[in-house]
Amino acid sequence: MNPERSLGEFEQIVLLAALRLGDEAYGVTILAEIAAKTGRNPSPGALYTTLHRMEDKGLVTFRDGSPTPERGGRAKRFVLVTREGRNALASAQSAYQSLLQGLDLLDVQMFGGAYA
Amino acid sequence: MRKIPFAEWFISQDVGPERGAAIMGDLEELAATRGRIWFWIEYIRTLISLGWRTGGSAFILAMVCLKLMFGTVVPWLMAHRTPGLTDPGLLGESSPQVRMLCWNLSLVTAPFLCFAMPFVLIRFGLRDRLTRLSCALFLVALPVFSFRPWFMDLSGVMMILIFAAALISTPWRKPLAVLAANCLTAVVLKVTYFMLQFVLPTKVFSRKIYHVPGPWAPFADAVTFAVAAFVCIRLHRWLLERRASPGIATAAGATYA
Repeated sequence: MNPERSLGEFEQIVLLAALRLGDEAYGVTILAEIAAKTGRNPSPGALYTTLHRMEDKGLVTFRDGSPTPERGGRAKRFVLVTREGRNALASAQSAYQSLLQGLDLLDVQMFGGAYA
Repeated sequence: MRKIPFAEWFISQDVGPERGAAIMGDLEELAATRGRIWFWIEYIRTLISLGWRTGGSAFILAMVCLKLMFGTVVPWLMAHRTPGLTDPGLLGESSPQVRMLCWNLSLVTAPFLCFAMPFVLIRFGLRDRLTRLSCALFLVALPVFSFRPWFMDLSGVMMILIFAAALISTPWRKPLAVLAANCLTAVVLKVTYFMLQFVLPTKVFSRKIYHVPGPWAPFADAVTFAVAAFVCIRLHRWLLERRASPGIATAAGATYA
């Protein structure tokens, strides 16, 4: 993995949430998706800092939506994962996969087993 | 919730109008179910987390670090100096030219690094190569203020070794170039200020060399480091930040332009 493009844990979570949401990924839905799937409630500030950092790195880009009244007439800013972002995510995930291989960690957790 | 133009304007100063409007929109949308107190708490938290790494904040915090460094650590080190620098040190007295090179290198770069290291640490974070290089050089250069020949020799030799290693290694060459360009900018501005004292009228500057740094020194330092910070950000963007291809990935894995 290229250390220049290595992703932090929260960056990976945000990218995965954005990919899962597809065309509907923006601040509010990403926060909701992260809360629903991980049980974590990140602050909006943490999310925007991460998104802006990833935008500067070229891992995500944005598309403006149309203004809505519940947002005080402001437009949504939808998150789009770039090819580079996807590659960085795949690279980080494959590193995790290779480390997990042979540990049966997920099976133990799913079926309630435990090691002594 | 009614619109709060001042809050939006303030956050836009940090992140730009488009990002600012989107953040305020998201916060308002979330505040519809969480209330106004939550809105203001998250607004302030967002402002802090977005703002503290900007160039302006990093510059102010780095100037504070510089003042603290020269108010505490440097005087403490200087209080433990060897009178007269008579100790033969690491290089001995057989190679005075090498010794002078080492000492001058450390003495010129150490004050600059007292500003540059905290600046790049705040602005770019510890994962950045420029920050790592600055931290390494800062730690190596700091003992020069002890004015003990042995430490000064060691500091100079270590600095030359780090310079050489960074020059040879491809990934570290650009961070070294950025740092060197910054240091050069700061030195040139400092020397210019020093020379101006002898050219401009006495009312503005003292012409006596023992009055250096003179009454305008704090202002000159602030300008010097502000220019260095600006050069640092521009060069970092130009040399060290790579832009990605514009292709967009979707959840299904397809890519479109």
